[in-house]
Amino acid sequence: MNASISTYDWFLKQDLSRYAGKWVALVDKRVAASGSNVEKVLREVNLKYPNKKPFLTKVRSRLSVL
Amino acid sequence: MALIYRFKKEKLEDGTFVSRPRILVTLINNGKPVDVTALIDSGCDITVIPRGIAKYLGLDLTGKKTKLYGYTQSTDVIESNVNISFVGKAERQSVTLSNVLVLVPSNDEEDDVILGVRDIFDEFDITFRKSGNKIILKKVSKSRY
Repeated sequence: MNASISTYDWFLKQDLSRYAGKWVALVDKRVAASGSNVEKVLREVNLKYPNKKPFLTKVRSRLSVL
Repeated sequence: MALIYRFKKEKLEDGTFVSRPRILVTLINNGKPVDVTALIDSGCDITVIPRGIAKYLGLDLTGKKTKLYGYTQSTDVIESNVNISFVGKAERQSVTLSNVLVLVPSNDEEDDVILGVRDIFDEFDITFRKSGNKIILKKVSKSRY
């Protein structure tokens, strides 16, 4: 199984509600960075793990219509 | 061959739960990739990518300016293009759509990546099976057109 799908499967089982309203970047099945500004989150992860592909998700905490 | 994803059960601030069709895609520009969960939205005409991700990937943000109309408001957006890979269990199963037209909001309000009808629904037959917790994307055979 490729690493991206492995992280996706892990992500599906996680309760990330403590990061409500934020972007969360996962690396190696753990939260590597989080914040309201997605570009900053990505750059932070890129600095910490320059050779890893970040896995990004937005944590929504309210009922929403797109 | 089909790509299968799941609904993500998410806890809201009032303690209730919702399930959202979050699938995994890789956005790629000039060889720079980001894995991101994206929502499939048949009510959205074109795919939308947050400005912050577009800037990180170095997407061209000098394209045509237009407006995206939502339920109660409109947003200024810029047209751009990105490669979108729909990630499969094995590398060989992944399907990459090249140069997909996307809209990037002009402001810094940041929301999910939204996969809209244009291009995405042209390339895949999409089945939602909430009861079986499956979202199934089947590549459309071009011979049907």
